[in-house]
Amino acid sequence: MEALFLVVTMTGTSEMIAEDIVDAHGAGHEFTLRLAEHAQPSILAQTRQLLVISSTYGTGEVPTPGKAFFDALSKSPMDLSHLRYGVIALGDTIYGDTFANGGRQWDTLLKECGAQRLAEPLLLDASGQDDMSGLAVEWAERWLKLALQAEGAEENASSPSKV
Amino acid sequence: MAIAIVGSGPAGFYTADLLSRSLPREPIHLFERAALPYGLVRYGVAPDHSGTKAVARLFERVMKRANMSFLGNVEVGRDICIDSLEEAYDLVVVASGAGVGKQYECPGIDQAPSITGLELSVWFNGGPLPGTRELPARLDSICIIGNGNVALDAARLLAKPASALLAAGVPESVINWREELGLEEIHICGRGSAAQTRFSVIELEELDELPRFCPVVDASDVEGATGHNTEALHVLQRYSRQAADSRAAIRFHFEQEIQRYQSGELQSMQQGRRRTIPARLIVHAIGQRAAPIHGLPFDHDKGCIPNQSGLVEGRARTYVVGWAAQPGGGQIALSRSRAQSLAPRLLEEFERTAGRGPRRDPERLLASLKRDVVSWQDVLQADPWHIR
Repeated sequence: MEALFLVVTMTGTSEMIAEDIVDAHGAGHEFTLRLAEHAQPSILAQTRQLLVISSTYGTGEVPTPGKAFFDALSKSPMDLSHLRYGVIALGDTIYGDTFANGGRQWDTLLKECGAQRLAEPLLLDASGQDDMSGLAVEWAERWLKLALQAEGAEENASSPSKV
Repeated sequence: MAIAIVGSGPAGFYTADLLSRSLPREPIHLFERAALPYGLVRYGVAPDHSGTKAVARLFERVMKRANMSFLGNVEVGRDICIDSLEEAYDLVVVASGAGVGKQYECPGIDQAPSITGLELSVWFNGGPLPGTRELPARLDSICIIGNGNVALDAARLLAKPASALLAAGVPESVINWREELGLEEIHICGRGSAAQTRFSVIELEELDELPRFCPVVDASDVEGATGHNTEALHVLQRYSRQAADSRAAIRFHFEQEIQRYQSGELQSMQQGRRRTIPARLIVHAIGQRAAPIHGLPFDHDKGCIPNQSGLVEGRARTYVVGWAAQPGGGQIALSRSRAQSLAPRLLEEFERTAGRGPRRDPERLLASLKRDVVSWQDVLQADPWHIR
């Protein structure tokens, strides 16, 4: 399966987590990892499976390196009904209500563009004792299964004559 | 062919990350003055902000790459000179940070018991207290000079319950010192208005969650205050409306021009009026600068190592990155973006000069070092951050 991993990071932790997912589940798939600062919304036109891994900046904002991408898509929303996505949202519970809001903003925006969410976003707390990478790899296994199921269903629907 | 990086804080590790990805076969030696890695992340970030410290896991990952080596407890400029590094390495990158707290200067202040906010943070994070600092065993008031997050971190660490500090890993000896003080008030004193601070909302709001202390702001200080930091001003305005309770005060003082220190008090002027602020201990939290490295030029005014787009002035193959190149900014993420900006130039330079001319074998240089160098293996076995 082809999937785009859109990494939105301030300190590199989201990138590390994305790489861990590629290491754990990448065999046999084509996962392309892109930093948001090096990408533009047009990339989503050709993307069918998207995984956003985003941290949070300040009090609930999208990290600065991903701001241009995010704002461009908000200002000129694309029709993303062809796209299925998942979100891993990193944050710090010390920030209370705005915890992991960066990733949650991506979730809302993608939904508004008509993209289809495959699973509830995974919220990761940097202040917690949990192994964030471990949780992300575990969650991504479920996300991958759902994505493959969805692709399979689509293929069956588009080629009904196939036995 | 090999690369030396001096300093294992964010700037050093982000640079190591980028270089070790692009040059997976070239040895990269990471020198660190302290015995343990991570610099600012370990010692500058407050111990109770564990989420900010979580980036250390990324750095730990970088050290797993085959071409990375760690050499702790080695101070470049003292244990090993810059010239020797340049002889043995194709590229030297200084990422020594801004590890020196600036001290406020006014008549009499050298008579005051004092500590920098950075030193306080290092100490609460389990690092050493400089031998030159003698802290009082008992005092009723502390005055923190500075209006940034280092000042707020200091106030919070001085005010937070012992149990919370213990949970955050603050050494028991430090907690005991704090508990025995008999501290009744904490003052935070700055030159600018209540709207000109560098406070973050989150750090400011943490001061309102303390069981034994509460933030106190004068209404006259926040009314009509103008400046860029309106978010922090709104929090301060809220504090000014809160009724005093039985908790001890963390009292804010704005627009203070401190004139002198005399017998446990700071004398200052606020818009032409005399003010006296109790200060049995002064915490300097007015910024940081780099520490000079013997053998490299130093700009004392700017507090950094002078450089042209990263290349250290007067040097052929020594670069500087992060706070040592340009102090301030105060964010770990900024070190990452600065390392990203410099990396292409470093790679270009490495391609250009690698293997040219007679070079001393780095291994022979390292063999000539003192014996108590801390290896990564040692770190993994001894560092509480890695024993999980």
